[in-house]
Amino acid sequence: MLDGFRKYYIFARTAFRDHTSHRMKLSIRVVLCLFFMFVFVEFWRLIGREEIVTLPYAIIDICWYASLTQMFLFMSPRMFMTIENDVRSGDIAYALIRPMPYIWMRLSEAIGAMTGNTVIYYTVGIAALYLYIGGLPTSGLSGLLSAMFFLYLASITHIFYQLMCGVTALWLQDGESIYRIYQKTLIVLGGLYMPITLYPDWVQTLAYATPVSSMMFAPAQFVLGASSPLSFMTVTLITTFWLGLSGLATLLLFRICTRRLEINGG
Amino acid sequence: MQAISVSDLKKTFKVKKQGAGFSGTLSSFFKPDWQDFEALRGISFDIQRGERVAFIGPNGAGKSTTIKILSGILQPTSGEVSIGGHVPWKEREKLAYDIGTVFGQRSQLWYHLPARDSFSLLASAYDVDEATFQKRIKRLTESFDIGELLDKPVRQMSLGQRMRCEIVASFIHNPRILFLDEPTVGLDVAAKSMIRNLVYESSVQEETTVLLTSHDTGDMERVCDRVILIDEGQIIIDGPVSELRSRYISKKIVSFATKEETIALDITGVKTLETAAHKIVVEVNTDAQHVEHVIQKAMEQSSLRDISVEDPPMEEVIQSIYNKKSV
Repeated sequence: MLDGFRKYYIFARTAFRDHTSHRMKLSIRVVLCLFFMFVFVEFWRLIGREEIVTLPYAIIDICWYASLTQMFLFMSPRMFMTIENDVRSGDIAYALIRPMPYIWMRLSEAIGAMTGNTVIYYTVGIAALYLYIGGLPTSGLSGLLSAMFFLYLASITHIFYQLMCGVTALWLQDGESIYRIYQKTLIVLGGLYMPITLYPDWVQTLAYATPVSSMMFAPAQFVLGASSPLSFMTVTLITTFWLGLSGLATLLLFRICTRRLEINGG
Repeated sequence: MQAISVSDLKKTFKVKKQGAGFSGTLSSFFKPDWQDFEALRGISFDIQRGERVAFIGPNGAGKSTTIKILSGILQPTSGEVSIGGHVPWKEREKLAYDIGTVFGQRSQLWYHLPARDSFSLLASAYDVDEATFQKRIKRLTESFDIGELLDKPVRQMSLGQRMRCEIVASFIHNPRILFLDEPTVGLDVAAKSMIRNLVYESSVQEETTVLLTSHDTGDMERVCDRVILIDEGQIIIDGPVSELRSRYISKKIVSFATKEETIALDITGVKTLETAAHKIVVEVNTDAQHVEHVIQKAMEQSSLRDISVEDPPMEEVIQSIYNKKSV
């Protein structure tokens, strides 16, 4: 059992090393992420300053919220692209005949790479935000740490969805278009730009019924202070539920798609 | 001892036929026209342990499809396959320990990492313990002369260097069966020769069964003892490589270096291929004419300085077999 996990740990460790060795690529992505975060901080500061709408949250909290959700999007490696490239190049022929399931191998690599990203974004990103926003969210360090912890777990759910989009390439030779649909859903219903509690009621109901709200809104709402609508226990339950369900769905879809596999180029 | 057994293997792909232009695309979207393409039409063969078999044929013949079914990547439409007692598409993960694969122009190495890291990663994937891995990598490093490449990132290697590392990666878990799918494609002459020798020697030393597909007949001649020729999903020939020339082609190439500047060999069954001062090269159809008679005729016209009798190149032999089949 432990030996089995050791294999995946070694794949994750190698992916971590490989990912963090691309310093230029990483630096550019971090700078881009910081840029987006600062744009959203300024956006919400402007709304607060001009009193365009009455917000149920402190501006400093909503700035943290919008920045953390941006960080979430940048933290996960683009695993659907890796799988699609494997299919298009034919390299999947090698990966499929290893004595470990391809999908779990790619998952462990994605977790390794994402952990590399997390270390960088949670140090450089959080420090930059602290200085730029001018302090911690009103929920304090505990709110921020809870958000960071659940965002990391939610990133694994996000990887599952990327894997699902990627494995459809085994069947349809195209995973990217499906990913684009998923990504737009995630951005809108996940609450990337604003907490979903600011949406109309019917959109909120829709968002709560999907896994995407558990991936961005649920973890990041811990920085919304006393007004955060979901308790620690609720977030733990919904994160675990969607993580498990997404994992099962990924495995099922992978099995269906490998049965339909046609390798490109003979 | 049987390593591979294939019986009446068939594979049919569904191919979507699409008309040209916008209307064709639109019509195909709403009413797709799926057609069956029979890649394999019931092939059967057995391979014994330690045998080195070339699986050759033109593009689209079904070579790669066969290899992919044998290695468990694709499921056949019908037929039976046993690889070391395993059904590949049902027991892919168990089979993985017994087989090694090299797909030319595909890579199993991590592009940005040194080859050593990929080898170590593969060793852990195949449950090779550290001591065995170190012993094996030392031997493979010497055999394949990759000592200088171990700590070099794969992206900085030439194609020939990378292919040597790809083959080493396939040997890490000491597979009993090796599938090589066009392993020398894109390589220069020296690299091809090196790869062929290394695969042959490793196979002899370890008694590894080799199934090799290639368009390059040199791979077949240098590595394999037996050839299976496949075309349009059917086996045309299955026999020893050494018999391929004698059984399927009745031609000899005879070159004469003459004392006289020119000689003429207008004999039935003899075609002049090349003439130059003091030199003539002819092709003798051995069904119509004896080579000995042609030499005798040449000697009657000239004092010969040198004679050579050669078989046509293997590529020509294979081409001739394809042509006979198409006629």
